[in-house]
Amino acid sequence: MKNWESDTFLARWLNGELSSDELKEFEQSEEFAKFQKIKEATENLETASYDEEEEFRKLLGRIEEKKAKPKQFRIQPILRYAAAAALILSVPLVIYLSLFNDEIVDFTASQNEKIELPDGSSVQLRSQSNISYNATDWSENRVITLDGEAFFDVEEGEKFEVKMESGAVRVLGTSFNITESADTLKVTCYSGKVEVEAFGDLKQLEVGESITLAEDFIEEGKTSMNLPVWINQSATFRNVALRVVIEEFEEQYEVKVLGKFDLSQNYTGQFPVNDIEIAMAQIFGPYNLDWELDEENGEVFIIE
Amino acid sequence: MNSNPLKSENVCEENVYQEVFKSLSKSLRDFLYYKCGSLETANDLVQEAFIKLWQKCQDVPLSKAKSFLFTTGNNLFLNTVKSQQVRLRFKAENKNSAENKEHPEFEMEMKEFQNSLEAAINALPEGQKEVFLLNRINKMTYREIAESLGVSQKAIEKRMSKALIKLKDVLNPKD
Repeated sequence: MKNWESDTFLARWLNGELSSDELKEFEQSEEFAKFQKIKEATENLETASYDEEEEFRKLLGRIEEKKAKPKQFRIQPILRYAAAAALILSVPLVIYLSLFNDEIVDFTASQNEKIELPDGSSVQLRSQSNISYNATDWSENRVITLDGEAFFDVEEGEKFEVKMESGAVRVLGTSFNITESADTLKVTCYSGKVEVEAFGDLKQLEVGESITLAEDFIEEGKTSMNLPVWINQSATFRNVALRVVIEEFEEQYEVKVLGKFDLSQNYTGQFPVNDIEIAMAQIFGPYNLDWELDEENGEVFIIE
Repeated sequence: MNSNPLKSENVCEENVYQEVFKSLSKSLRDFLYYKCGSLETANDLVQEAFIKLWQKCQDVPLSKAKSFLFTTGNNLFLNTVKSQQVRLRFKAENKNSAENKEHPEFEMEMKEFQNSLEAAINALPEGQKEVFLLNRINKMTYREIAESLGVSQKAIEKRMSKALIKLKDVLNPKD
């Protein structure tokens, strides 16, 4: 039996997987040229073209049609899909929403996700968190229920209220972060003004202020970041002292920064919280500082 | 709470769904075309298969989308159509075109060979034909084809080798 007759030989040849000895022997066989000719002739074969964009549009249309028949889809994918499709089709979304008189949206994020609310406000929902709201009368009644953690960016308009087991947060056009669990609530205000009512307390927060509440517990705090870390997996700063940025960096990576340099310089930018090398480059790079990481002792040396 | 965290990789995410369409629709279309020989039918079956994927999106994890689509497409094909011949296009190779003008016989011979090759490919058993074309035209690796068709990689390599031997024999009847 010739080597090319064995069961996977030619497949491996076509894929360039033969050993050089196998290949040499094969090339000397009288059949080689015939196989080579087939290989070359099929190198540039094509089928008729495929208009992928057009086909996808058609597909969306057909899914849209089927959607009119209820019960085939669960609420979550339909709504998400409808929102995306609205950009392309614009009409079907309206038709869809009007099919239901009181559309309650109940959504749990499987990963960090941004959800647009009917008035243009948005909720960045942390993975595994849940929100629900009534989409039908949203413009008159901006009440949303949260279980978990979310960052809200609120358009101006009627009162905006987030309800939780432990209390409620009310605002007028602002952005803020809520971390909510069964027994504690932490709210951080990133812009505008926020009113927090929970555990029998009523507090107002201004930009950069945070509050942690629990039964018989209250703690006020500050932030110099302008977005919660979990949203981009990075710490984001606008015009704060380098000292503040470094404190945050030390906390995120559990390291100590050593060395003499000017800590009062202003910093605008962000650093990732999951990659220390990139983080160091983004913090110290702009100031022409050199750094050296001693992983064992958790120390970063800065050399001017 | 209607999403199951264990199924977070499902294709109900509209952007995931679109990505799947982008990366698989052409090879699925061609796979179905190799089977049925009609572009119109193949395009249509792709749509049907993707609609089924959307309807089942809660149950099909992203990693299984490819084999789901190929299996579904194949089932849909079995339900509907009679096979026709597959038409293939041989892209003109630029480097040869000048040479071809000077050697019309060569061009003739080439054309003839391509026609016989097309016929020989169409004469392959279905399993060999689709594997051969998915690899040669759609540049799918043996592993990818194996995953899509739900068989072992070794089985794909055997089909591929058999296809080549068959093609050689058909094209060289004197052997």
